[in-house]
Amino acid sequence: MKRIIPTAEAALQAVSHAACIIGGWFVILLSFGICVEVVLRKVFNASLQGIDEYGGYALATTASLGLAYCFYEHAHIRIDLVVRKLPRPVGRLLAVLAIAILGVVVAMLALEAYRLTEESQMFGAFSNTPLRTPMVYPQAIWTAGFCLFFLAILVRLLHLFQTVLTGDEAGTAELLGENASGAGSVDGARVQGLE
Amino acid sequence: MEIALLFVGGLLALLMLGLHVASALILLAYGADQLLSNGMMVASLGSIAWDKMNDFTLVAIPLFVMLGEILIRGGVADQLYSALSVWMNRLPGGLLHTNIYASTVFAATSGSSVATAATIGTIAIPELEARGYNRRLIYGSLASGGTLGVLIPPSILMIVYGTLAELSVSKLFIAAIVPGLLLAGMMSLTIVIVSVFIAPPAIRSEPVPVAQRIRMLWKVTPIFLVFFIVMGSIYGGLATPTEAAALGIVAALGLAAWNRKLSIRMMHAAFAAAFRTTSMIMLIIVSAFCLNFIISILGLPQDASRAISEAGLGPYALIWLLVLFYAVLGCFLEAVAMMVTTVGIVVPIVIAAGFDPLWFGVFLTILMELSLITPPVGLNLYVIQNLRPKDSDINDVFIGIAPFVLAFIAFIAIIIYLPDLALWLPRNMSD
Repeated sequence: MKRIIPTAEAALQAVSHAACIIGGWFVILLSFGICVEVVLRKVFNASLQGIDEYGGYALATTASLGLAYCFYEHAHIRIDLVVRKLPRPVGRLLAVLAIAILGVVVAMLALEAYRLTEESQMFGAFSNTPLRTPMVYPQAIWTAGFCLFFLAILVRLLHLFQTVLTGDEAGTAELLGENASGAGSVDGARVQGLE
Repeated sequence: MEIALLFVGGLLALLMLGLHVASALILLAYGADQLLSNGMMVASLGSIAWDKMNDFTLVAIPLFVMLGEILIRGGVADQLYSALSVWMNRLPGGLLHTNIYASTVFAATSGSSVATAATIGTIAIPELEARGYNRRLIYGSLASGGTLGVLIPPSILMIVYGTLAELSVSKLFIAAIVPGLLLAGMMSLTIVIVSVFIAPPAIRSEPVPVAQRIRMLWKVTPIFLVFFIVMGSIYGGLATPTEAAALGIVAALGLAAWNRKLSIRMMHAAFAAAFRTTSMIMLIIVSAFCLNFIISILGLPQDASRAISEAGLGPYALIWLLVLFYAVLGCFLEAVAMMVTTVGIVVPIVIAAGFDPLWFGVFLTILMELSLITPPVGLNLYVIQNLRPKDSDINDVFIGIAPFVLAFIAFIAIIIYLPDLALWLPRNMSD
């Protein structure tokens, strides 16, 4: 029974990674579409309808579905300069607190995203373009991304609770990303820094 | 002004507790919203988030990250380094210049400093150590050359700035070209000065025939081609940055296929990296807009501008004060956090003092670069420190960077008093 939480976490991780891969192929497809659009516009003065509109949806949906993957990679930036200097138990407590607060913030975002999607559905909102896309479809996927992220945080907290209770030192360190974050390694720095 | 300071202080406190940057921004916005503006922000949280995440301009972020990743994995960095090195070895300082110019070219296709420093550093350190170059200079030139990644377009940081300050990203990119090249030139000059007057390196190099040198350069022309496709289409008004990035991706895929490095595995690794960055940055952009929403409702930028003009601070004094402010802030925060937390208040102040926001974008990016190579959170220093051989001393990196930090400060003065260096090109571009 004690494998339930780690298994659930591995499954979520796989889902979020798969979302990134699918999103990536969409982006490649989009790139080719945009190239065609640019050539059509300059050479033939014509246009593929709505490539920018669908580009926007692609970003909104893939970026929100990628949030959970980003979380598993410890890529959401937090400043651990001070936390790192504190005694280890205090530092860890703050790290867990940070995850919990992120959970609250993401829950808020997910709720508000859900509310927006619900409104779009209720009022039958269409995009203000010739395509008249029903807004509810892209917004529903977008909301699902926030929900996935929230679920990932919740399961991570449960998993942390488990590793702490069972005294699994290495497990706790890994879940908190103590080796991956910040200046620990080149890859760590790569993950953390967008600059 | 007091409230503005309270905001900055509160934010710093939350960040120092180790909260995620996005949580800290939203939490502060939420608190201020409940206390001071009756929950207006929360009521529109959903639409703020949707409007930003659905913005076609920001589609440029995953596209440019992916472009850089495809090029890194497409096997161009090694070729580029050796092609440039055979041209540089006659200069005083020799191959150290290659570190700067390889970073410059690489920066022109990648929007990240850390990726630039890590990619070039991995190739350069073993090569230069074997030839007996001064370690400190190797590390210093690599760390500072890497910072060009954020200044020379495309630059993810500039897309973030352009979004927050509501400026044309195309113009920002174009504005950064001349300062970026000039900064590379100044780093090169620093190497010349140090190697002539302070520490002449013992160079062992074999002359390479001109025909072979040209052949090596010819092999790396495709990477320049990608750059000209991307920047040329922006400058010529052919494409928006997002569209230009898409053109670049298609060209880079062709290039990787030509080098026989294209594979499903390589593509999937590039996708994962792209979304790691994109999702992180989108969450931060959404939260920064939440905070900016509150800040503008409360009229904080106007308050701060008024306080500054009442204090009788001249425009240049203000700018130098900002240099100091960001230098101190840079000791605690890394660049993205620093930018998103301050732009909402600082940009209106700077505009009120009569500066061009486009110029300020370039200027701010240069300050961010400086924060990348100054301790304690200079990411590039840590990247280089992790790449160096185990027997070398940590302080080599810190000593090596010192002359370049001086060059940066001189460069900051130049850009403050000659703003046309940044503004001349965008003024002449076609829309």
